Amino acid sequence: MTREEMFAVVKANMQEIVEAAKGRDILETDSMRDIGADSLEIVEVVSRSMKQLRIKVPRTELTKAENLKDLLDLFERSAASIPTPPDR
Amino acid sequence: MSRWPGAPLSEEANALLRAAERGPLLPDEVAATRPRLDRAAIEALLPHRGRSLLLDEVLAIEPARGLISAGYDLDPGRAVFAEHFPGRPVWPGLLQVEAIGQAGLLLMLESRRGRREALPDPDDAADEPFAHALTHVLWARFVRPVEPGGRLVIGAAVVEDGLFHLVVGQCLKEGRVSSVAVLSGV
Repeated sequence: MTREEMFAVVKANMQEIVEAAKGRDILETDSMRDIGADSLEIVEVVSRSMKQLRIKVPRTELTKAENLKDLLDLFERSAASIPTPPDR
Repeated sequence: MSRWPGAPLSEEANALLRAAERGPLLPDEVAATRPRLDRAAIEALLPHRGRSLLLDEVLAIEPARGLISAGYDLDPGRAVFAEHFPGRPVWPGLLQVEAIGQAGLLLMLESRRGRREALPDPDDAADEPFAHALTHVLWARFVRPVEPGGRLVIGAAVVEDGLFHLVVGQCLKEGRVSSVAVLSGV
């Protein structure tokens, strides 16, 4: 899973859950709050994205993310820590 | 706005919901063997007070299994019965949903307390009674009226769902299910 693919998942969830994000260009430097998401919408976007990406980032780490770039950094680190199944 | 856009319940939550509709999530004979918590012990965990606290006693709490059973005295003298409804007293369905939510919160807070005791996390300094909050009522069904007198038993199971917790709960009187609800919280 590349960073671009992770970003696509997050953006799709934002477009679906956050009214203000619909039809808008979303950049890594954006923060969900600046785009207009409330705190519950942010939790929903992150929760659903993690489920879809099959990664788990501790809540205490997530609270340190100030924008989507920080969030994707956390997702990348989490994905990298998941062992790859051996080739058959 | 699609807050919870038709996300289906997990298989685990669905199984709990079906079980909650059939009978007690924590049978009386199991609850009878567990230590109880009185109202003071409940207030040490939950922030609710006075008439807003809808649990009088915890009959059994099993954080490892994600299960709780609590009781509430349906004293006919409670003001709510005089008003809901005059001449036909019934304990409100929405209070049953609230009681299920409080049981779920109590279980979440007790589980959190246990985790923090086992593994303190200095970064996680959320004020304990408000560390969790309910965010959605996903589903509720009122099966039969709850009349005054006797004890209401509130059962709840909590399962993780991403960053959310799902509370699948039930209210019972005399062993018969009066309501079932599914809530979520963070």
